[in-house]
Amino acid sequence: MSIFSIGVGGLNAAQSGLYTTSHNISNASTAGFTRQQIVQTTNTPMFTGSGFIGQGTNVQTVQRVYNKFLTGQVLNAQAGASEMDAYLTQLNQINNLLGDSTAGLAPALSDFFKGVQDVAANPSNIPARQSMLSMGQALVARFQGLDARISEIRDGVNQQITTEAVTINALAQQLGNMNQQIIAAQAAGMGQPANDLLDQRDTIIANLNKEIKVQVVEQSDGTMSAFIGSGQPLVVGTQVYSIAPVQAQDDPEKISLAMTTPQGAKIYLQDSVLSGGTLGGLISFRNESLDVAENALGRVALGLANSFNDLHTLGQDLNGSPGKAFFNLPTPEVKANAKNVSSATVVSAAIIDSDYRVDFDGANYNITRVPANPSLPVIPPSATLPVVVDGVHIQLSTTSGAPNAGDVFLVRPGNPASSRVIPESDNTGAAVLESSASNMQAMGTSDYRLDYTAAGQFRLTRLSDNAFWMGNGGSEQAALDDLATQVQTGVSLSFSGTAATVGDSFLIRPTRTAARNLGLAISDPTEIAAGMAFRTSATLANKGTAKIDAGAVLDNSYLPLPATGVTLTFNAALNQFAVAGAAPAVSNIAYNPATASSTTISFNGLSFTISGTPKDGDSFTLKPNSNGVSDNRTAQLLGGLQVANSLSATAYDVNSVSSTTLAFSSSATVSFQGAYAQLISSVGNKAREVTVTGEAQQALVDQSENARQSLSGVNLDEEAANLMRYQQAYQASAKMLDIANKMFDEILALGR
Amino acid sequence: MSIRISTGMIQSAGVGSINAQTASLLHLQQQVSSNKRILTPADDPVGAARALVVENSKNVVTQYGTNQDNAKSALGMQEAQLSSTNDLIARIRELAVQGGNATLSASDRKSLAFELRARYDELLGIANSDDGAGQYLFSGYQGATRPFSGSVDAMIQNPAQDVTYLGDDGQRRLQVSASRFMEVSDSGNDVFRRIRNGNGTFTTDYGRNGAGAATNTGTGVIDGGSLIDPAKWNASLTDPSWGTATPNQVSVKFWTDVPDPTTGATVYGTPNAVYYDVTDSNGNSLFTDQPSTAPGAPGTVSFLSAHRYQSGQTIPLSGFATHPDMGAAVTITGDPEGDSVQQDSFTVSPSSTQSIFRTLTNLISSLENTQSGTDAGRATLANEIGFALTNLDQANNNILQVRAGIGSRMNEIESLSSVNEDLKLQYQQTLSNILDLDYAKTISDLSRKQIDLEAAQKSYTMVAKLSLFNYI
Repeated sequence: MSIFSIGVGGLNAAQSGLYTTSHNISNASTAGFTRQQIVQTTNTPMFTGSGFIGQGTNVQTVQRVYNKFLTGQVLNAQAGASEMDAYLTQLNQINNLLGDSTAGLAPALSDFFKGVQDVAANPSNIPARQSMLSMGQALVARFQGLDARISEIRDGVNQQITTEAVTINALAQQLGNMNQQIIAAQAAGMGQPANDLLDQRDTIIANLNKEIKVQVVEQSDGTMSAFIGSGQPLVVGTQVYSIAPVQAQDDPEKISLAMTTPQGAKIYLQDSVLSGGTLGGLISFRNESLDVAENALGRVALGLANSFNDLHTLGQDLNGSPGKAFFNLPTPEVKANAKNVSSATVVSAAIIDSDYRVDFDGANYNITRVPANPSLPVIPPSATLPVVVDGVHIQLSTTSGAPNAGDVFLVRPGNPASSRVIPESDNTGAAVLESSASNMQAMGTSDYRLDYTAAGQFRLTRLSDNAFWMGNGGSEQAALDDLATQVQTGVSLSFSGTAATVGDSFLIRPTRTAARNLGLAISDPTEIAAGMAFRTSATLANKGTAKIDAGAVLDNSYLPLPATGVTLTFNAALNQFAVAGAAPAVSNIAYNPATASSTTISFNGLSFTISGTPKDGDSFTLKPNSNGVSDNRTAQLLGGLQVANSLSATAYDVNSVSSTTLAFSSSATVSFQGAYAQLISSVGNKAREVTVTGEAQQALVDQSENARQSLSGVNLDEEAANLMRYQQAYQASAKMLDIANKMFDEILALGR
Repeated sequence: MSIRISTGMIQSAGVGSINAQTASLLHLQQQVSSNKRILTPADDPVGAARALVVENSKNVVTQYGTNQDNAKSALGMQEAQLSSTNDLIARIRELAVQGGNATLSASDRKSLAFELRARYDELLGIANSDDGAGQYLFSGYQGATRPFSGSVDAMIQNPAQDVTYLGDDGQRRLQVSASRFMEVSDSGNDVFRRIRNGNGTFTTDYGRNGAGAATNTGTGVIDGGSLIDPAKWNASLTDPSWGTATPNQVSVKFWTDVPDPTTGATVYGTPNAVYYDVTDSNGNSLFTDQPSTAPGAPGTVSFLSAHRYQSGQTIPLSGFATHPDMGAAVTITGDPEGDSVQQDSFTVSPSSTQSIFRTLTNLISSLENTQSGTDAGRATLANEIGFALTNLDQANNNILQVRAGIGSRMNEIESLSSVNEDLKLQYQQTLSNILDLDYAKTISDLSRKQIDLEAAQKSYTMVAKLSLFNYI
């Protein structure tokens, strides 16, 4: 070895350094670039008598200044940040939609009730009625419009998931290809790291991570494998799996993802598994916010339609006919899972929100629905209480006595607890009945899943918090009935068709489609029921000071009244009213004017108050309200719905009634506007939460990226200094060659 | 130990902070240009929800205000009609008093009756008035049905028949505040028909035969009667003192002690003195519990010497042997008479209801048909006019009562209205507090943010220029 070779070695080393530095400088802005350094080592020294003489330098390798741990941190943070970004972008669409003070639901609701009040002020005025119908149609259109927009957003999410799947597949393919290239390059390069290819692979992984969170594992052959979710492989070495968008098995409207193995089998990926990245954000948004928002909107629509119809059907319209339903009531949705063995196994759900007439005949409590619904099965008589009817619990109160034969009670679960049970005024027994809240009040915003887990056994799971109940019975219907005694979900489930197979599953969505399917059932202004079907009067010849109020209809089973009416005549000696003309017959009703200033009397679905002191023989009459076109009693009650508390307050509040404690919490504490305000507030809160979390995640990303950059990023000043250094080293080595040349010339000059 | 900074870090930090400042600036600018503090519910979820609820309350309160206006106009219309009715009754009263003047001839009375007939039609017109939009005011719930009909002649022919009322007792109500449903109409029954006759507790009449014609031959005129002790009156109603026959009434009968034409002897000593008796509906005297008997007829005499009658005397319905004191008295003026065969009588019965139309018809009938040529006829006419005046007063009072009710309701609307305005203002203020922008603060924030943005931009430019390559 000579100085020449040392010099050349030095020149080469300096040249490599210059190349590497220039490479760094020109790639200073390349995304994902890791700066490279040459690693110089000394050559093996030569042993001489005077010691080891060094033999110069050579460049052993060019290495990336790379820390796998820092890069991993960036990936983690980025997956979270992308997820929050995607979530927020979608959520802002709902946020803006619902909260708009002119395009939201609130102004349409206000206008509709204004129309109702106009009819109350002028019941016989046709333009006022027409205006109320128009406002009703506008309200229905607004509900449908909001739901349509939510459906659009849902379609958009589905589309984006499909696009994401394509993107992820493309990136996975790129990763596989890159793995291939790196193996080839490193084999050809005899083990030298293929730095730039490695950088490119890192970039691909970072891009993939933005779409869905991946865990990467470096294999011994230098390839990187990527796993998604809870360990499903996406790329293993050079083997690439693909994911495909598919219709979810439990809901054909939902696009979910499935992984295709090389053998061609499809593995459905559960939503819980797909987290992180844009895809995770889209799926979290759909499950947590979009579905809940649509359910909550539907609940307001359903509650309004139900309460309105209940009052409207008790009234009388301009033509003197009983009120029809004002709104078309939407029905709950049940979707059978695609995996179910037979498509003829049918579970259907209905919302039964009815009042009940409990008639004790001495031996049994005979319970009938009011108004009668011939499409529902008859309720069998029961010798004892408590009893569960359509999910509503009716029982005797703790301080109750026994009833006498002929005692009749009107049970109205939809009313506040204090007025849920109205005993008829001619009851003689001491029984006091109670009832749980109505199905409509018990309705929350969660969906349910029903699984057939064993013969005669169903499991009902509430999807919002995964609480579940098991129902057992001799048949499928018996198991469903058993479930109804344990939890009041708001819907009544019934089973039909071929027998269920263990493993069958059904998705129950009580209010999902309610806003979409709401409709107005009447179009003729004269069919708005503003009045009531009966009116009261005091006989002109009455000698006492007693007055009778206008009265109200509680249930219309026994209307219309006979044309001659029902007459109450006061017997001062016995302090009671005799009732004539009522069908079914009503016996004497006690009233002692000396001890009470008034009494509220109810029988056969009618209720009215007599106050003051009647004299013996004074009489009061209830007659059909024929030609009563100026009667606005029902319109007043309908107007009161604007502020009445009709729904339960918390989104997931459900009257979970256990068969041992039978707790009857009174659950209606918000009005329709209040429930809608809650929806807006919860969406706003979520948007706020996601924004703040997103900002925090972004800060994490920035921090970890800075840490990585701090190590691996190019600093142009540093590279400039390196340029100068390697330039000097080059010059010095060149000088070395020059001197070696001169030394050789000297030796050659010796021989002359 | 120093941290290594890469060129990329400088760039991303600088651009990042410029972006952040720009975003805040944009948010502030949007707030200022729309004058809204809450651009989306995410800005203040609790505030957004509360604003919705307050907006709803404001709408409800505004609706109450509209209802109050509607109520006021409905009540005002009614009040106007009832005021006319009071004036009408005053005029009828005048005519009645005129008709009682003994110097009028029969044809004079007939012309009074003629004007009264016109007044009847006027009254019918008021009772059938509407609100200008086709809704009858006084027909209860049946606003499209004309409530009152019935002609004077039909009612004169059939004394038991009243005017026909096709309406009902319904009262329309409007919600004028959260807890107040106010009646804005009164039924025709309540205004025109549910009127007590007589003095409100009992009514007086002169003796009539089965066909309703007067049987008295003397010139006695009875007043409306006075109620002395309501408790005693109520107690006596259940006592058998009233008898069992219908109509349920108590009668006061008179007998004149005429001197025997031959002997000149009188029963009680004072020639041509008049004595009275009080009987139940079966004709039994309440003093003796035996059938009422004048001296000279067989049976226990019940026209006692203690019961001497003088004109203008108040006859108390008390002092009975076995029956409780009725707590009432009647005053009779003039000269009733009676003998052992037929005695003048006057009756007292508990009040029932009598419509103002019936009262007016009775007055017209008596002016047209009563024979005023005889003393008895004049006395009958005087009685009838007396009854008419009493019943007209009752009717007038009833209408005044209804008007008082209307007046107090209109008063209530006034105070509810001012409370309403206050509430609306409060809600508006609350809404404003929640939604409106604090301009001063936001604009100062805006200018400060501008400065922040400029500083970020300038500092980035400065730092980015520094490079070692400038010196190589």
